[in-house]
Amino acid sequence: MGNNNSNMEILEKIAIEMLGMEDSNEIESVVYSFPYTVFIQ
Amino acid sequence: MDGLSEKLDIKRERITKLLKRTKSDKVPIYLLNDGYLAFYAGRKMNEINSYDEAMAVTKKAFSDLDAECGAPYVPYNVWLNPTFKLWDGAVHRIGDDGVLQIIPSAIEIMRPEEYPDFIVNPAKYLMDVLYPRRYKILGIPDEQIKYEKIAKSYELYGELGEYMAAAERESEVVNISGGLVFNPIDIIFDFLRNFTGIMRDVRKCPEYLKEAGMAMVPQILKAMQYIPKESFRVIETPMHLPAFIKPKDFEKTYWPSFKALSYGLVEQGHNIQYIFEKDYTHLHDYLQELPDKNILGLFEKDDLKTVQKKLGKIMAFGGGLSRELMYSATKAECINHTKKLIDELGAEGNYIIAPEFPMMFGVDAKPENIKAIIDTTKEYGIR
Repeated sequence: MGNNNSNMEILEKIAIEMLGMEDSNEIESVVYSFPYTVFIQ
Repeated sequence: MDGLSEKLDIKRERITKLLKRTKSDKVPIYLLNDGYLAFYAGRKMNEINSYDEAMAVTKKAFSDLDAECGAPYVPYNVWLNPTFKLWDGAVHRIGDDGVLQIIPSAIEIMRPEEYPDFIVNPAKYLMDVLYPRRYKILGIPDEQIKYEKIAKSYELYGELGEYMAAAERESEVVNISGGLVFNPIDIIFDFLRNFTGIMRDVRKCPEYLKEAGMAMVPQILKAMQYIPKESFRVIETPMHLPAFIKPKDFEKTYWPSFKALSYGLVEQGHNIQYIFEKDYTHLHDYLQELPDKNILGLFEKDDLKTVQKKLGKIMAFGGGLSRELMYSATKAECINHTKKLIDELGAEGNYIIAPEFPMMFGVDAKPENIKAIIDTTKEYGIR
């Protein structure tokens, strides 16, 4: 993993590698969930 | 019944009917609780350090408080404290008493001149520019470590979800919440600009505020599209800024993205629960334009007869139990008040009895009073 990725790309990797997602819409859903429903504490 | 108890199944059916504004067999009651269960069960919040203990608190309290819906006790020490450590930053902290507190100085991480860049891609700007100012995890140079910490915090989120599902099954009280999402302008208010900042923006750059809100809507909808839709669950949306601004400012700034997100979520098949904190009487005409299905509004200060008259064909609604009543009144007064609410508001199938505020502390309700209120709905609320 490089050092200059956008944090959005890291979220995408989490969706693909950790959650095993393949469908692009599902991946996008996980990526957008972080700024709007996870990092709101 | 999907392996559920008959009791839980009946409660789910009542909530489903409420959200469809259809009469069911009784007027339901919603124990809008946030932390109160620990007090009720005789525990201190800061001493609950496992999901097993949280489950015991939830089951003990709900064995008495047999409401249709309420939230299982959430042990912040188990979920949020480790999350905050992983993120190395937050808008909240857990106080010594175990109560979630806001850190006011942590809120304002955005400057007004950043709106044009924010509007281009709000999610990317949040994750790459704004949030790293608060959550140090997002600025870690070693991306493998960053990946592992973010992934771990996501795992903690998943563990909480598993506990909440189990707690609902075991306590036989419906956890109505299927997710939490803030309206776009409240994200800016609560997490980026704080009160002084957003009031300045309402006056000085309402167009930027409106555009920023609208730019977030499609991204929030993408985030919500795969959240399970169930007829008895809602997406919770606490409402904050509208109570502080005039209708003309509401229309220019808050309303466009609020309305668009509301229609988008309903179109996806979600129910929405708006928590209208303080008084929304000045905005009832706007609320009449919300989708006329799938919405529950919980009201704090609005007159509920007026709500039923003006909004009762748009949304189901709840409220009616004040702190003064639940803590200071006698048990007999609580019973009489509950009967009055049922008589005055319960005939149309669109009303759920609920506290006017999320119950957190012992001073929010005497245990014998809240139990008497819930029991009265079982005896008197039968249609």
